[in-house]
Amino acid sequence: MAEQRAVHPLLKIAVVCGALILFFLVLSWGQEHWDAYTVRILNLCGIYIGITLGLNLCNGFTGQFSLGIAGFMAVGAYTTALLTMSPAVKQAVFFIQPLIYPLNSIQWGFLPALLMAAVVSGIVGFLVGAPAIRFRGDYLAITTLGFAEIIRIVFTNIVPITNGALGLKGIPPHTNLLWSWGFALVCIAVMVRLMRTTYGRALKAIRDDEVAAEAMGVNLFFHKNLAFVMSAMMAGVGGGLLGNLITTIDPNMFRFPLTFTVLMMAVLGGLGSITGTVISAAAVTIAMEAFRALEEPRVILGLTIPGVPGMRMVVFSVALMIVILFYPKGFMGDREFSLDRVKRLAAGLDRTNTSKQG
Amino acid sequence: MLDTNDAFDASGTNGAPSADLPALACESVTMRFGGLTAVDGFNLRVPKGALYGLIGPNGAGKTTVFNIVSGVLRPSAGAVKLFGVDVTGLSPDRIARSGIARTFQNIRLFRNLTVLDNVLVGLHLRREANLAEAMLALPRHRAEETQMAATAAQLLEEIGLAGVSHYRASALPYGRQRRLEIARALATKPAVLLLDEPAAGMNPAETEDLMRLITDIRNRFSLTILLIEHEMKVVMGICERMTVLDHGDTIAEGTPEEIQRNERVIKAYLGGGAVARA
Amino acid sequence: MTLEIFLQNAANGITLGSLYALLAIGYTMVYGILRLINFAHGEIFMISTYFAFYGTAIFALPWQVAFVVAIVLTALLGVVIEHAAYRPLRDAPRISALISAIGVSFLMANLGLVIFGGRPKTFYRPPIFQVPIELGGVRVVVLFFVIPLLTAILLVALNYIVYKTKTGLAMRAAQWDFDTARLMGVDVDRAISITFAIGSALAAVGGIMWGLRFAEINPNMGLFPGLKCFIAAVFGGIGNISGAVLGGFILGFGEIMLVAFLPGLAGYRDAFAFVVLILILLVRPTGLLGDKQRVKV
Repeated sequence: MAEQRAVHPLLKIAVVCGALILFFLVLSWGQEHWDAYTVRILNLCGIYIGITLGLNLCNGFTGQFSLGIAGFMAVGAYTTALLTMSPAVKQAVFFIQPLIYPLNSIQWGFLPALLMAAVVSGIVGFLVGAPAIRFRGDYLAITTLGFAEIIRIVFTNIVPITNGALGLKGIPPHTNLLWSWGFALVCIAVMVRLMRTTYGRALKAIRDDEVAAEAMGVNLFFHKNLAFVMSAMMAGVGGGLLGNLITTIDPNMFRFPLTFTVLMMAVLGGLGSITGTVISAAAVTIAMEAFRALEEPRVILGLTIPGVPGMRMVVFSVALMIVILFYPKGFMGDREFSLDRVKRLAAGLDRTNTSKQG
Repeated sequence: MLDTNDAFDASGTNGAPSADLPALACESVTMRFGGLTAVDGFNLRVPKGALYGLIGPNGAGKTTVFNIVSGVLRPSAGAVKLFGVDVTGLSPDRIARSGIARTFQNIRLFRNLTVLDNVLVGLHLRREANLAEAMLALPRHRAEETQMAATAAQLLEEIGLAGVSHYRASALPYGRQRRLEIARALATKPAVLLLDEPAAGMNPAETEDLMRLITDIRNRFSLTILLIEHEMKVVMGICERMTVLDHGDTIAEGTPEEIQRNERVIKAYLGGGAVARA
Repeated sequence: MTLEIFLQNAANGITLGSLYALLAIGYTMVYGILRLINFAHGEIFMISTYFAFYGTAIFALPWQVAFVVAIVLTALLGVVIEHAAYRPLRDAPRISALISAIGVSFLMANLGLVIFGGRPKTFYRPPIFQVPIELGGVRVVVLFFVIPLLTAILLVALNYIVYKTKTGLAMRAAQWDFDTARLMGVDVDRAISITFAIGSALAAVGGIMWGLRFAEINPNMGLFPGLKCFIAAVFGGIGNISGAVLGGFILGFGEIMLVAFLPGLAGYRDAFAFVVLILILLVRPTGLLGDKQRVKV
């Protein structure tokens, strides 16, 4: 192995801090100067990176196949919206039935609202996870899907709290590039940290063989719920950020197609790779927007070609099928980006033998 | 609960109470599945430090006994005791924490994890730093991770797997996978180790190595070992005593010599009327 | 609630229950043999209605022919899906097959949207089914008798096939263990294909009945009935055909009765099935008629 000079830890910290500061300066500048369309897409990228990491934690790293993510996003979105909207707007929006006390008169700042969203979705995550976690594979999938649907149906019906099917409008547009990418970076940091600890190993052990993991002393209830609740919290905050980005939400946004989209991002990138998730979440978000063009009528060479609604999702479904049938490990499999790997590649000594490296 | 952190005490003098208290005992353990009785009134006394065998024809109920002792199954009746403490019906992870570890008939490794990580998972249950400390990378956690890495490396060294610690577990050849499973079980610092057909699928040379390994770890880690095995060479070679099961009933108990001469055992293995060959 | 209203609701409940039962059978048969939730089953149901629709509307076939052709085409579709999306993943981890099923489901729903358009279409209802009958103050049409009757006949036929024929024996053998079944000379692949064909054909019958009953079809109509009918299959005991039928009836009947007795909860109608699912999985995970299964260690 090539000789490595030890890098002074303070230098590493300095470089990372410097990079972060630079990154956020660029984002601040961009928020003001880039066009609204680009900013919106970049915001969505950041948000979906965080949400998809949440899904990957639960489904990929811990092997608990949950289809409930749309439900947790809904919980987070509504929590944040109801806390950040001004009382005046709430009064206007809740014209069928007024919003209950004390929600109708309070207005919080964005950060406390997001933290509250994390707490509430974490609690809901536990309520869903605790009973569901004993099921394996398909049953867990259908149960969590059921819970997500129940959440949506409840939200559609409890009009004095959520305004029912009408949804919420006039949500203050707090979300900007700093928030959404700050969220993404926090999620990445949390995931990287977790996977480096003994808890992360325990989660992966559960994924590989939960019977053996339990026999080695890993408490399944605690660890599965850990993954489940953390995943729900990440989805909840992501949902909150989403709500304050697009400024209107309604229960119909949080249906199975949303879960499918996030799932697809995770599968394409590799269920078990943080790097893969980051890349594919951003890539798919951009592609989604780009493909929106497929669904709108366009004029090419003087001919009006009608848009084909649904075509976007057909393309993505086909992409998912191709990946799952031919490249089931996704883009990155369970490998991660690492400086070591880059150095080896550069030196032309890439003997990355996946049967040997962990 | 049982403090078994002393299991690595090589001197073997844990100050254990009277020699009468068995490390592992089954008292009238019965297991019924619907109409089928897999194990009926099973009794077992494994003395501390013993290398004890559990043998019998296929389907006799041996793995069922293991599953009961390790907490995978809750017996329909009876009790399992570890050094006199009742551990019947505890969940597998609590059983592991009490000091009983096991391997599996069809090797159950964490296939996508490295060899080292497999062993590290075994160390997870003895962690002292909590989740918050881990997530914040506080000193106690970092020190513990370093310690765990060292312990795991040492364990792999002693088992003979040091050179492959960064290989994916699924890449190992069969014989070494079995060793890894044993190393992982040892990482949980057990007092009692259950080995389910560890010699299955091994050639004679590997089997010899295995036999040496088992007696070695019993001595070095002050373990009590209960062994299910079909390979008679292993059983007769290293077990000090054994129990023979057939269709859920105990048909014999004793030393290898006694068992080899036992007519009921011969009949159960070979069918009626066969003459035993010594 | 008067007797008439109750009977009216009961008639609706029996109809819906039969439709759910027909769909649930397909789920339970596939799950029994492949241990896979065929997420695409709801979409197979949806597409069968469009087959029938195009048969009558575009190809101007007499409805008897159109319906039979639709059933046959749907059965073929089921077999094709199995070959393309599930068979290649037979040895892959279960999660891959599950993702594939979800992908197929989503793909078909959106393909339907693209090909058929999002606007609901009106299903052709032959007048013979619309002949009104009045019974004890309740006004129904002939269809309300045809549906449960047809379901019962099909159930008897299915039980005959599964329990009294060699094909059925092959299917049941494959449910237990592929390798053992193969050693016994069972063509497992063929058994699986037949399972899909039968399940899809029954879904098609359900789809056509649905079209006759509710008159409106759209590409997204498969999602909810699909989920509910899987739940019905679980409720009755997954892998058990009678259980699926029982589950389907109870769920369909229950859904109607919930709205009838508690009109204030009408908005929660779709949640009913999910609540049932969670309760049954907590209380008796093997379902009403299911038998216990253990994880082998």
